[in-house]
Amino acid sequence: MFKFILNRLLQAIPVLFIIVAMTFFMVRAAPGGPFSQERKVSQQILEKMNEHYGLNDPVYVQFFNYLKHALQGDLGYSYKHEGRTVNEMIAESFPVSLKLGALSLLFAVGVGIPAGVLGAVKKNTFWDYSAMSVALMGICLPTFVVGPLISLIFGLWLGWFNVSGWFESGDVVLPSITLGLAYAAYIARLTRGGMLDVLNQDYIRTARAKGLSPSAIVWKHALKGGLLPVVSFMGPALAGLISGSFVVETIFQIPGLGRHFVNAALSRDYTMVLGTVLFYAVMIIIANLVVDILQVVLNPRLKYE
Amino acid sequence: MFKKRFIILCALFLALFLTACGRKERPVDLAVKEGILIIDNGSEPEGLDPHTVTGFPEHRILMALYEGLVIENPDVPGDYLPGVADTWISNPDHSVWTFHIRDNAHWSNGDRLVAEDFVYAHNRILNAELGSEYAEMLYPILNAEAFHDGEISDFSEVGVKALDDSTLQYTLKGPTAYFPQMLMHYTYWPVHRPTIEAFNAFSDRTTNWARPGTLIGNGPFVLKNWVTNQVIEVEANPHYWDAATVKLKGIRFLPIDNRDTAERMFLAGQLHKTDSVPFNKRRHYRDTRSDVFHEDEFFADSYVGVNCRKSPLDDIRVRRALYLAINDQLITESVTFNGDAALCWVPPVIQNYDNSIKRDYDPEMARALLAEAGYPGGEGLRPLDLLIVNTDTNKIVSETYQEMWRSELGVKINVVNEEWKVFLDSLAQGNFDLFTMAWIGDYIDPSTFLGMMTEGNGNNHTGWVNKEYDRLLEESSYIADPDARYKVLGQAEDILMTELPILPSSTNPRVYLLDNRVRGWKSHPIDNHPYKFIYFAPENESESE
Repeated sequence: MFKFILNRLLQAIPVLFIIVAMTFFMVRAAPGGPFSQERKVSQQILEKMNEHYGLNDPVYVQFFNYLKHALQGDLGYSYKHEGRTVNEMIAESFPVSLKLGALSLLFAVGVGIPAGVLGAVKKNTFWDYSAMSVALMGICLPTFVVGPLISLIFGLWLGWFNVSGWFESGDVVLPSITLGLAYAAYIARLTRGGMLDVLNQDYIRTARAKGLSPSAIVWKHALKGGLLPVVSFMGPALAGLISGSFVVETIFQIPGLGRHFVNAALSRDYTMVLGTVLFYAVMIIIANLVVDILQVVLNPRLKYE
Repeated sequence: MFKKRFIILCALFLALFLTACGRKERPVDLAVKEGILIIDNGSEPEGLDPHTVTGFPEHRILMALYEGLVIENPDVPGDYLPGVADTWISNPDHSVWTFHIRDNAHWSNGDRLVAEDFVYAHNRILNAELGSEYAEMLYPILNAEAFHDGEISDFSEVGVKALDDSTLQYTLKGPTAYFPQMLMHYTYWPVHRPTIEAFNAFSDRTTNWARPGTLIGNGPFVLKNWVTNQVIEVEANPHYWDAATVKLKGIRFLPIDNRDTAERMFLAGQLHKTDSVPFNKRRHYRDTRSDVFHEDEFFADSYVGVNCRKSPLDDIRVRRALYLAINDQLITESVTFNGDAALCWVPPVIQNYDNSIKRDYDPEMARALLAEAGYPGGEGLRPLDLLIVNTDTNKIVSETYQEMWRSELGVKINVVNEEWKVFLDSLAQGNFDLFTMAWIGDYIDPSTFLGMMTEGNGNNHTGWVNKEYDRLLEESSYIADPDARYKVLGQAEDILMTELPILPSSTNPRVYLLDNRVRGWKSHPIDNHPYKFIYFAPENESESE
């Protein structure tokens, strides 16, 4: 297992390098720069600013300087947020996105798995069709529809929660549901598919023949195997959830990483773009690694290879 | 057993989820009791160093933290009241201004504020190493431009002197009767020298001094807390010279960059004031919620810029034809539900200032002019690219122009929709025929509008140059008498309205929702509201409403 992890981590190095290189050159190729703005600044001031941030050097020099600093854990100063480092900004906003993502995931799993199991066990009945219709709606409705809708209902009309903001403990509820809903729907469909597959297997038939209760068969024996597709889906889902969602964070006014991710690109905040992309990439790599390990734990037929 | 545990877990989750349920006290009501104003700041400020920021979101917060020599008079738009200076005097031609700094002016840490603090601040912003984008605001001061450009290196040659601790004197390039107007801009505000020196921030804009705990200001409030993309909190400054007037205990600025979110927060009682109102809901609010809907006169215009370097737009007749075919009234009344048709370039907020050429919607004349230019019914005219920034309002307005010019003149328009930075790049490269944009004045004087169209001005993207126009603007800067000066500026505007390198389309009022318990928030042409005059209506008064 140790060798497996080491091997995967070594593979991550060229992947990260390619990601950083592509982002670095692509963001610089985009028209406009970090200091272009409506009130045009004089050429002299622009040069001073470029010099200050090292943007007058040839691009390859800038790239290797960036790599050198990034390897030491220094992601540089943000061009947009004066006096703030990218490290600081990520450290400030990541816990927020992590909290939101974790709660969304809890919601997605808590709703998605039972719904999927219900659909599989009561296949082609009213329960199956209702659960899967709701799941289909969850997948089809984008967050920018669900978010304002539930904030209108539970925030404005019922007055149970704040419509937006990140100040009180209750403020996590509406955004977690909004963000988690689509994932819950995917999980429900994947669970249903996985469970249907497993429920037809010989070992389940054997269990039935041995006289085990239906609930013991479903929850104890079938679920473990039925969740395999869900587990492989969880890797990218986890990374996506904890690295923040621009739309949900904007609708609910949440100070998470997702807003930095998009706003940095729009304002050509080069260092912030690179920092968030790099961070996101590392998150995906770690999440996928964890998922691969979990797959082996859940499925004895797989080995660390 | 497993199932049972699972059901218990689900029930727990549900219980946790519903703990916070139940209608609760609205944040605005709680804040009113605490004397705290909660306002939408529009977006996250890029910083709070008055010498390096450039935008509105920053200005709104800086107004709480700093104070200039004079401040806005909320009761008389365009007028000013004593700020850090208690008295001032100018020579007869308004080229030398002497301010007396009040004896009880202090920094928020209790240090005495002296005239030298202003000199130090002006030296810092004009120091090219700092790279301040807004330093040109100080160019009316003698030699300020030369120092900024590096032509002179001795700051003592710049026209600002501390004659003693309490006396600050400005010597200007020429007569500038509106100079006090400029002093209300943050570029003229002082910074706390020991802090700047401690952070070595005189020339370095990447230091972290303008943060809670280290930012020392001289305004009615001090910076208490700043969480990026969440909140900036300020609290009353006990060392402020006029602390007795300050009624609010604090202000929370929420950086909300989505108008719909801000509107929902206002309706749910989480905000006392929004920064704007979604444009498709303005009519609804105007008709049904006049108690909270406000539409203030604003020193701002929307316009269509024209690339005068390219044929056929280098022909005045073609530009004029396009201009006369725009039915602005239709746009403001039926498309944007906002503002009025702009009759000329400088918005009509300045008393005693006027020009003589006003716009007129005349499609008949427009067709005749286009035919005269050789394009009868638009025949032979190539399709024109109208460059816009990707926003909902711009899309609808540009489509309206497209249809107006097609139906009235037979001119084909391609709307080119670009992201903001790409748009700026296209403007800089001259890759457009027409573009839409808005302009907001920095201070209340026609020169802030007319000045941007002079030759070489970075904001003149049209390539239009008129020597007579530039000469009139230059001449106006040496005229002491305000009325005579306005007359010359009016002549310059007439040239602009004749040659039409820009087609002024509509005035942009400031539209927002305001809790009707907030008092002292008065209409101001550049949207500046000294927070020390803002308070909440006494409880019995608001209940009776």
